[in-house]
Amino acid sequence: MWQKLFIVIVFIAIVYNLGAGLYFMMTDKGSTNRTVNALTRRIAISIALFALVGISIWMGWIAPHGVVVR
Amino acid sequence: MGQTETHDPNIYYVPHASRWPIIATLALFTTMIGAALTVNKVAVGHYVLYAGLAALVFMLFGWFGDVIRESVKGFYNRQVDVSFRMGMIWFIFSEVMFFAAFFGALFYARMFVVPWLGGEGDGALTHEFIWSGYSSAWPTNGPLKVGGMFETIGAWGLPFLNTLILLTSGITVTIAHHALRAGERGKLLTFLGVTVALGMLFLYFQATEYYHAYHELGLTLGSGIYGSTFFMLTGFHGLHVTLGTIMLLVIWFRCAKGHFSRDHHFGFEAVAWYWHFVDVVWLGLFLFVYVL
Repeated sequence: MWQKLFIVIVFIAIVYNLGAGLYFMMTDKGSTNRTVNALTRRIAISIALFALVGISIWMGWIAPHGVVVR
Repeated sequence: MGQTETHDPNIYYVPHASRWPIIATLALFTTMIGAALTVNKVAVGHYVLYAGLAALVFMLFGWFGDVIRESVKGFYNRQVDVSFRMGMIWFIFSEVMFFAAFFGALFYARMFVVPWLGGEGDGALTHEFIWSGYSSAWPTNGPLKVGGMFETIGAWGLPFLNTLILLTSGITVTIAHHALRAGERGKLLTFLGVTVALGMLFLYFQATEYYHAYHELGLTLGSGIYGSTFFMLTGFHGLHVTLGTIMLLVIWFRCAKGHFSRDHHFGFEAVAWYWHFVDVVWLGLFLFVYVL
């Protein structure tokens, strides 16, 4: 269960950085790097999460839909 | 429409006349009439529908083209810029609400309704008297087995590959974004082009997956609650990827024409952000529909 909770928490961090990108797009109007930096963080965390989920399924730490395929 | 070439930069630009609103109205009206005739199986219905859709595409092309030309001519002052950004905020708000409704439907069915039918919580009596033979599980098409037997698409295989493709496109669009900020045009065009190609590749695999689901797994839009939530979520996401790919393609041509500068590129930034948004929605789908 805690593995799934961890995935959800990391997903929230991704959504936060996506939202930050939108916010900076509105306030900075393209004059700073804050939007592109927030979006860079967003994709970096996404890739890390995807890799983690892949490894977790591979190692058997989590099972898709809770169904263990042997 | 830009009928005047002399424009006061202190005034919010409003075209003196535009034919696009009436064309948009007629196009939408024709499309709706065509759709109504088609679902009622009137012979000429689909011709009317296609004519309406063609008029709609013509209108979008023409209207956006006018907006781009007005922007390039420098008719848009700071106030207009703010209104574009506000428009983007409202558009994204509606998008978030749109996907929240479908994700909400999935969670509600999966966390509450299906367990109730299985006899949990408030559903004890419903289970006892109506669906006594049903034990709740997910994925399911419910106690009546609506749509017949089906198999689900495993997280490995195409969904995994598609997630990889979309995430890679997230990297390439970010590299393009950095390149734009750094004023490196060649790099910008290359990586933006790769992003468009990856978007198309994603759509191709999505279509392949749907074909496989319909023809070999028995999983259709009619496969009870799992089938309907699955195809509603992934289908509307696919529609958004289609839109995003078209928008990125338009932005690629605009970049090639030199419409954007390091500090002045709202069109690019809005579309790049939208692509990130569509990517995050997919990541949510992959996690909540295929994995968790």
